[in-house]
Amino acid sequence: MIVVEDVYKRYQTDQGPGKWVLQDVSFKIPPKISVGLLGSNGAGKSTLLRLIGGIDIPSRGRIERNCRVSWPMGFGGGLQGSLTGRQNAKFVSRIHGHADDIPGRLAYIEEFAELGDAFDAPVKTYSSGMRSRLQFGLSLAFDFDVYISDEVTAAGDNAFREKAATAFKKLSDHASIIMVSHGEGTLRQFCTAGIWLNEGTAHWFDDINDALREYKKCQISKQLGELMCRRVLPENQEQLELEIEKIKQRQSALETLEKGLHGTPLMVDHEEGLRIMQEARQLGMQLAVAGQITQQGYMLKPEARPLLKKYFAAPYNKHLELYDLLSQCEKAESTK
Amino acid sequence: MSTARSSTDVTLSVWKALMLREAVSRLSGGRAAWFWLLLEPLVHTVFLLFIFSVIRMRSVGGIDTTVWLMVGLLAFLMFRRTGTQTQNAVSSNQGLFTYRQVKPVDTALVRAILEGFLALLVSIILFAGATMLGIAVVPLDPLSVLEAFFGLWLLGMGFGLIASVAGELIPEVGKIIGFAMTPLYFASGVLFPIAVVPQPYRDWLLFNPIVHGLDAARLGFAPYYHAVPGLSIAYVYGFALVTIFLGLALYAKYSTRLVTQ
Repeated sequence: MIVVEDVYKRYQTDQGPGKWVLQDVSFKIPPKISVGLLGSNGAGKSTLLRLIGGIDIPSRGRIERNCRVSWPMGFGGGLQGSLTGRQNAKFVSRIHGHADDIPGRLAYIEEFAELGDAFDAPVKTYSSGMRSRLQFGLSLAFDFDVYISDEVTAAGDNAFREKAATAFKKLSDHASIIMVSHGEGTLRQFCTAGIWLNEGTAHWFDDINDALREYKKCQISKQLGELMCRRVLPENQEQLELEIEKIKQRQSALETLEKGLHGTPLMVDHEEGLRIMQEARQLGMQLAVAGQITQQGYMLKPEARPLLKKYFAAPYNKHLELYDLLSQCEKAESTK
Repeated sequence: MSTARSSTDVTLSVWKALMLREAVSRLSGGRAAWFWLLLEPLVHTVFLLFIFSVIRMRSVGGIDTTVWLMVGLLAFLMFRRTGTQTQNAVSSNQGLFTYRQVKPVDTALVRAILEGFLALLVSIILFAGATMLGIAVVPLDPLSVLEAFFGLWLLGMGFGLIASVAGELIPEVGKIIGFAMTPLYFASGVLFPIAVVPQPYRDWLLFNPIVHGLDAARLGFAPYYHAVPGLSIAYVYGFALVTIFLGLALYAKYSTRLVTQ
């Protein structure tokens, strides 16, 4: 059980106290419930993870951890570049009080991270994928009740992700995860509940899918808002008209996209489809596409392909059909 | 599931882990890192010896110049290396604070201990080497030499603790400390005996505890050495304990400020 109560956080900057990153954030994470943290860049996801992980303290409010919580795995923290993967692993074993059991843990980490000879090379020579694999292996080598992951599980190739997922599933009868990830698939795979961080406040959702939908809606409306009150327009009449036309098109693409969130498949013509795809890509949304567009080489994200095959058997050739992958999968699951 | 470890257990295992890790990176970072540990004081001594032989100074304060120089220099290095290593402990271990078991003060204390041990080892090796070369650097009163070195180590630790917190909180302080090191070197009696400085300046220089530490170490090597009048090893220890207390208090007050960026 993790209790976050009235937490406020801001950082000290060179110009005095900075602006509030988190404001009046309260929620409870029950035992064995895995939670995904959503929010745009700079919304305070990593800050919240650091607070939960106990390596930073809130400016106001309190956080209670009544269980063993891992350190936040993520961007290079906790690994010393000049030491090898093995030496780093030994260090982590020692500070967690497993000095008598180092060989066993090392063997597990070595096997899990699949670094090969690189396990004995300095960590600074690792690629980011290798670093994440090491970090993930490191944290799985110890028994925690809650694992905190900052974009780590999304790293590595598909095979590694599969492995991480199965390793984690094995733990899930006694442990849970709190994670930040930009991969919708990853979040759906690991988490049941979701927290959406927006403008400093946190919104709790019992279902990760609801959280994802709310997050996307907000993203789209932000884009729309930005589109409306934007930059200087060109003075030349012709260019102005072109620009206005472009904005109109983007706006309609975004609006269609928003409609799609409610579960109806979008039937659009080719050009409109391309525009929608582009907007969706910018927003980091995943669309399932049936029709010509796939044949023309607009590749889907790899994790979308099997789903596409599963749910949309017949390709539709005249128009493009765009689906919000999330709502479609949900629908398919509920009818099953 | 296992029960929670006590805070002492956690701290002890963190210290042990940090110690091993620091030792590995200090002794195997780069090519022949241990060699450079020895080389710096060696080159330093040889260079100073060369200058002293050019100006034909055979003895200082009644003892052989070589002994006087070596002891002073190594004692000073005990202070300086401990001080600078401790000072940089927090900034060079930022990445480790990802593990909430590791507190900033742990890294500083562990570095001080490791560096003191290394400095002692380096001193013993160089003294042994000099003895093998026929220079009689054998302490007649080893215990008071150890007492002086230990006092200087404590001073270094206290200095490092204060400097590391101050440097993190106010970066300018770190710079000032950086260039204050050289004047401190001259004012500590490594190059010339403080005993020959006329009054009232000598009394001013005697506020510097390192002067006491250095001359106490020399006195331990040769009891007939004309140490600076007013020498007090108690002053070294008193000063060291006050700085260490201050340093630890700073850590207790600002430990969260050190961890967050």
